[in-house]
Amino acid sequence: MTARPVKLHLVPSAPVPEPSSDRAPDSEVTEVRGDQPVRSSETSALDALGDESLVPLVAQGHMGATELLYRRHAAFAFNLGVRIAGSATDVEDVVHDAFLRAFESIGSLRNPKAFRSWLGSIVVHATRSRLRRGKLLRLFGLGRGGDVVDIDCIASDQASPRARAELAQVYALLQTLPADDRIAWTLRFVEGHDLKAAAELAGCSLATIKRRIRRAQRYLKNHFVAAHDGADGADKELEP
Amino acid sequence: MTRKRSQHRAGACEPRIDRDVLRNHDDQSLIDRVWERLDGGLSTNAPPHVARTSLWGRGQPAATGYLHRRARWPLVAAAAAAGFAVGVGLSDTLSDSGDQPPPVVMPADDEGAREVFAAGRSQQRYDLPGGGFIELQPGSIVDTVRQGRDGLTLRLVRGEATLTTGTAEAGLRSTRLALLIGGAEITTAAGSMQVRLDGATADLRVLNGSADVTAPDPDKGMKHTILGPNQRATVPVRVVTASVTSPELGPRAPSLIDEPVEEPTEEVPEEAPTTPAWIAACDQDDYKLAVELLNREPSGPAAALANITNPRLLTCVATGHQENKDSSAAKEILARVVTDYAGDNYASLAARDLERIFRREGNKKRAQQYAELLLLLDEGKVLPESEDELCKQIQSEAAAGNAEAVVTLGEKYRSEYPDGECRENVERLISVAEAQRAQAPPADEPDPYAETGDDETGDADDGAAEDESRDTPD
Repeated sequence: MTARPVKLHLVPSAPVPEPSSDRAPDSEVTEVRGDQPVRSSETSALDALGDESLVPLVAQGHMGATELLYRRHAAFAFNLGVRIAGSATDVEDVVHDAFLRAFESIGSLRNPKAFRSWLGSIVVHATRSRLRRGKLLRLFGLGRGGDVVDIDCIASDQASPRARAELAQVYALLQTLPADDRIAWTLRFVEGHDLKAAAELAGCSLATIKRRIRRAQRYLKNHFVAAHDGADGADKELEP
Repeated sequence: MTRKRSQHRAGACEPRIDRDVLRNHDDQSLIDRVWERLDGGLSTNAPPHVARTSLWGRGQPAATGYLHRRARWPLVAAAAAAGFAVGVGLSDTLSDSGDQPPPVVMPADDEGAREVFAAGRSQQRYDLPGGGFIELQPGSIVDTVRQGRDGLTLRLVRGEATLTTGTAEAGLRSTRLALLIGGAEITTAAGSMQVRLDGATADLRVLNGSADVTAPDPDKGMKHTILGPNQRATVPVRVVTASVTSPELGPRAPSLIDEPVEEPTEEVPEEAPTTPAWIAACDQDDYKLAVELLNREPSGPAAALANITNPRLLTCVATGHQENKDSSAAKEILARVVTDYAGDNYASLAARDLERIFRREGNKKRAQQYAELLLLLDEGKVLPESEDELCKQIQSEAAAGNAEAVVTLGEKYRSEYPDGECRENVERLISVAEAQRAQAPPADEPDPYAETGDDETGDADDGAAEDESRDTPD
C-alpha cells in the first residue's frame, strides 16, 4: 500500500461540553456550613452549587463539597490523563495525586470558578512528568517497559475499526514526539480545547502552544497513513 | 491544500478528532475507587483546611499531610489492615472451630490483576489473569512483577507455589507466563510446575508439560535448560563465586542440575570464604591499587567484576579508573551502578560522576541527562528495588496475618530506610501488628501463627529474599 499522507479523522470544531459548574447562587445554600454535620438531605443542596461555591467549602474542610467537586470533575481528569498518556497505566495514580494536590492547595486558587482548568493543569503537569520521567528512566534502562498505547482505553466501543486504526496510528506517532509537543497536540485536537485553554492547561504561552501544536501537526501530517478502506480498497480522505 | 488549510488555519474550521470515537472514562467504579483512596487520605491525613467535617461529623485535628507518594499504598495498607482486622476478628470468634481467616490478597488497579498472592494458614488457589492458576502452600507469597501485553511475570517471594497452565483444567494462556525466583526465571507454555524456594536455591519440579529455566550459573553467567515431565532441578537463585564470597553470603550455590524426581538433590560443600586482594584494597580506600590488583585477577577484571553485587566495590573500581584517567572504563562501571542500584546513595554518586565526566568531555546532552536523572534519584522517584521488595514483603506479611513478621521486617525497614517512601505505611502496619500481638492469646494457648508450620519460609528465607531482590533487576 502506498504510504501517502491523508487526513486524520477530523470534524469541524465544536465546543467541548463543560460540566454544569454554575448551578445556583451562593445565597441559596445558607444551610450548609463547613463546621457542622451535613444531613444527607443537604447533599442535594450541595449538588446545586457551582464550583465557585464549592471551592470555598472545600477549603474550609467540607468533605461533602470535596466529594462532590471530585465526582464532578473526575471523569474529565481521567479522560485527560488517559488521552495524553495513551493508556490507563498509572492514570489512576495520577488522578488520585492530582486531586490530593488540588485539595491540599485549594486555598491558593484565586478564581474558584476556574477549578476545572486548574485541576486540568495539575493533571497535565503530572502526566507530563510521568512521560518525561519514563522516557529518561528507559534511557538508562531503569524503566519497566515502554509506554504502550492501549487503544481500548482511548477508543470507544462504538468506534469503527477504521477509526480505531487511525487513532492507534496517531497515538503511536505521538509517542515518538517530545512530551510537550505531544501534550499540546492532544489538548488541542483530541481533547478539543481552544488554543487559549490548551495554553493554560499546558502552562505555557499562547505562542508556545501554537508552536508546539504546529510542530506536532507537521510531524503527523508527514507520517500519518490513512487506514485501509476495505470496501473499495481506496484510501479515503475525510474532509473537515 | 485542503488539508493544510483545515488543520492550520485559525478560525471556525479548526479540526479535532471526532469525540464520538473516544472512550469516555466516566466509569463509576473507577471514580468510586479513587474516591475511596482520596477519602482515606483526606480523613486520616487532612491538612488544616480539609479537616474532616460536615457529612460525617465535626472536624478532626489536622494530621501531618497528604499521602503523595506511592499512591497505591493507601489501598494496600487499607487492605492489609483490613486483613488483620478480619484475621483477628475471625480467630477470636472461630478459634474453637479451628476455622481459618481467609488470606487477604491485594487488589490491584488493573482489572483482574492482583499485586500479591498470599496464602495464610491454608493452601490457596488463585486464577491468574489471562488463564491458568497458581496454588500456594501455607505461608507462601507470590507477587506480580509485571502484567502487560507481553504476559504475566510473577515472583516467588517465599514458600512453595505450583503454576498450572495449558491443561484442560487451567485453560490455555494467550500470553507468556513467567515466574522469577531471585535471578532465575521459569516459563511454561503448557503444563504444571512446582517451585519451592529454599534459601539460595529453588527446587523445581515439572509435574507435566515442560518448563524453560534460565538460571544464574557461576561459570557461564546464565544457563538455559528445558525440563520435561517429571524432571526436577535445583536452581540457584543467586550466584556466589569464590572470588567474591564473604561470610554473610553463605555457601556457594550449586549449578543447575537436571535429575530424576526420585533422586534427592545433593548439597555442595561450603567453601571457605576468601577476600580478594583488590577488595581488601577497596576496604582500605586505595582505589588505584584496587584497580591494579583487579587487573591481576586470574579470571580477568571483567569476570571478577561480573558477579559483584556491592555498589561500593563497583564505585571503588570506578574511582580508581578515574584516578588513572581512564574515563571510558569508569563510565562503564558507573553506568552499571546507576542502573543496577537506583535508589542507593552510590547510584546518586555515580550519576553525579557521570554528569561531571560527560560535561568535561563536552557531551552536554549526556551530561544533562545524568543531571536530570540525579534529580530523580535524589528525590527518591526511583525506588530502590531492595526497599521496594522489603515494602512488598511487609505488606504481604500483613496480608497473610503474620504480625510477628510485620514487626520484625518493619523494624528492619525503619533502620535501613529511615526516610524511605514506605515509612509512613510501614509505621501504620507495625502499629496494627503490635496491636494484634498485644491481643494475642497467652503463651499456654496455641499460637495461631505457629500453625503455618512451614519453617522453611521463616526468617532465613526472608533474608534470602532480600539478597535476591538485589540480584534481580526488573
